[in-house]
Amino acid sequence: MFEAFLEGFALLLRVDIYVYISFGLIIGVFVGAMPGLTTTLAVAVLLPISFKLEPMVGIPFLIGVTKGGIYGGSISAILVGIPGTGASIATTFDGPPLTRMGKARKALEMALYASVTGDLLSDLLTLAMIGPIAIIALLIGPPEVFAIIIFSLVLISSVSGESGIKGGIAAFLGLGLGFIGTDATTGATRLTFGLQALNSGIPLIPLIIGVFAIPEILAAVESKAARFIDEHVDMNKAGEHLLWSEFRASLRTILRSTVIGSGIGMVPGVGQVVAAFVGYSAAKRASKHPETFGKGELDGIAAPEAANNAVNGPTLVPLLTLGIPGDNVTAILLGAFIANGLRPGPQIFQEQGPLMYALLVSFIIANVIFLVLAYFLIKPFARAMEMKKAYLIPAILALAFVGTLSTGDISDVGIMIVVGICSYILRKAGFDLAPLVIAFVLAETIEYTLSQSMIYAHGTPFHYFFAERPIASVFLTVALTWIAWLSVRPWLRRTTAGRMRSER
Amino acid sequence: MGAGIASGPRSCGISSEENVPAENSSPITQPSRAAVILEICVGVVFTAAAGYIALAMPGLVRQEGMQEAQTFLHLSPVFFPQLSFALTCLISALFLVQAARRLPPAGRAAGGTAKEKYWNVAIMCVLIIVYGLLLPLLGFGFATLLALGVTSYALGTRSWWQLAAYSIVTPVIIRFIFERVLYISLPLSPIEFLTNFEQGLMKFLVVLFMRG
Repeated sequence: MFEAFLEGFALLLRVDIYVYISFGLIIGVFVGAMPGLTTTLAVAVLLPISFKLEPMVGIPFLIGVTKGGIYGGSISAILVGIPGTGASIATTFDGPPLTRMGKARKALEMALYASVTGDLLSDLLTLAMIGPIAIIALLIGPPEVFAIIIFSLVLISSVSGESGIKGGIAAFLGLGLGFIGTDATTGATRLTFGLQALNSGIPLIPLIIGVFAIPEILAAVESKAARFIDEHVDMNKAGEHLLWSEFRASLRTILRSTVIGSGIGMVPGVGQVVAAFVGYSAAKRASKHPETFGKGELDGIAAPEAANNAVNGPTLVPLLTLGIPGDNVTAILLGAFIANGLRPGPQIFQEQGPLMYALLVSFIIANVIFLVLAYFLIKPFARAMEMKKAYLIPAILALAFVGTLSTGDISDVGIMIVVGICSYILRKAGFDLAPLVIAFVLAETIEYTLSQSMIYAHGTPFHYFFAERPIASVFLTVALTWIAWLSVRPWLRRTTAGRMRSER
Repeated sequence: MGAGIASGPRSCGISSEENVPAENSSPITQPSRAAVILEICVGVVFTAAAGYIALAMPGLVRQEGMQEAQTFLHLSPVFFPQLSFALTCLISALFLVQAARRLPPAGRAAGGTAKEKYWNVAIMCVLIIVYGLLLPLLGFGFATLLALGVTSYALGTRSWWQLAAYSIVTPVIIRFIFERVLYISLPLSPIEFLTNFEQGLMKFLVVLFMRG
């Protein structure tokens, strides 16, 4: 393990890695700062570029986009009170009051330093624990992988969107789409409805771009407003720089939020939004002056920003060790790994150890690059928010088409358009499509691991899963219990409410 | 991560309401009649489609695949999709019942703003579809030129020189970067004149910027 880590350093001695990380960070901050456009959109549209680069360059590039995007969301949250991404909603509580007090620069710099510190520490934690976890992951077999995937899908579906039932439908829809094409185990062709183009299944790129890019383009044109924001951002009135003493005063908050974000990051489906809110409320509870929160408190910026960025590193743990993505971005990253001939899972640290460690170290270095870049580019990024939709939206549309065309098959454009319009309708109906994409990329693994488990089960699957495989049994039992709880919870609530009304 | 356009609630209310996509309405607020009708439609489509596929699944396997593998695995290629679609049908039916019970009484129809909002989306959908249809006919460069020009005009650009500059320069830059730097080939038109023009332009740019 340690040899692989040292060998990985040799792979980092290339300038192009850092050039692409820088590009990724700049694009990420730019897109993240636009309210209504998300980091996921940027990662989805830029995914095909990573296919054309070596994994050692392409994957850090996408990670750069993600890191930049999460911070970018805080720029508009602080300056105009509109979260650029969901992860920065909690930043709108104290950002705009600080801006009104003439402390916008302090807030932006606090967001930057907290983001970088949270991200850096969580990446170091990930690097330290991913090796041992990968070794443990080697000990588990197909039944455990099957059970963990089912558990993850249940968790992701239940916490996504407005309701668990919608998340469940989205996950099943993703599985259904994943079954289209040739069954990898038996060679049978399924659900193609006579269309030759579907024999090899629905390709990942048009699906991802359709799900993540087209609905955002359509949502952006819902309003006739010329820009994403109406205000003019005057950075000349942004005030003074953040002082070292102010940062030091928030250090305890940043560390607390980093621990919270890192813990949440390891749980599939929970993600940055929840981490930011938990980090914020923990900081408020721990503060000696909680009444200042929401009125322009620097700790109120540091807490959510450190927490949402600290999610980044640990979300890679289930992805790299088990091949299970926990959110939209890691689902897209899984696509990037697969397209580069790498299959994340228990074996990857044995087969590609140096590359994996080099990638993880490059994510850490990306934080340092980010710190320098963002510090000097805060002003232009703030101005970029005022860009006209009439220029940005058509360019994103063209890039979405280019991304889809990168597969080399022009018919994929049709798949992207159909998926995109359907995704927009589903989002309007309140569906979060993260479970769809995650289930889609895991469909083959689910079926394969189930098939393998059936071989081992010798015709007694229930006994095998629940009696002979304790780890699988725990995950499946927890998943089933969770489903049962979600099913009876509304009924219990109604009953309790009815009883309370009758008692009154 | 916040899923897509669902950015969630906005607390500071500095800007106009239009700026924050807010389809994930607060769980406290009652959904509009139109939103619930949309949910019902989605529920009906999913229940019917998943139910049909679950029942018809044995007939939807075009080749039976390797019988030996199926016997060995105790699983046919029909089993898992059939199970999955049956569960989809069940959960969609539950969702349908839930949505139908939430349907508020008529009279809360969407106003003019909502209609205008979706009119813009409908126009954009048509533009996207036409762009997709024009790609194989005109090639990437000219189809994108038209798509960018029309979309930018629809979104409010009225200066003709800005429109022309934007819609001509952007596809050229995109083609140059993706084809010559990233080696992602983009479709060319079957019309010889258009193809020759695009390729000639690319060669000129290569000479200009990539002589080394």
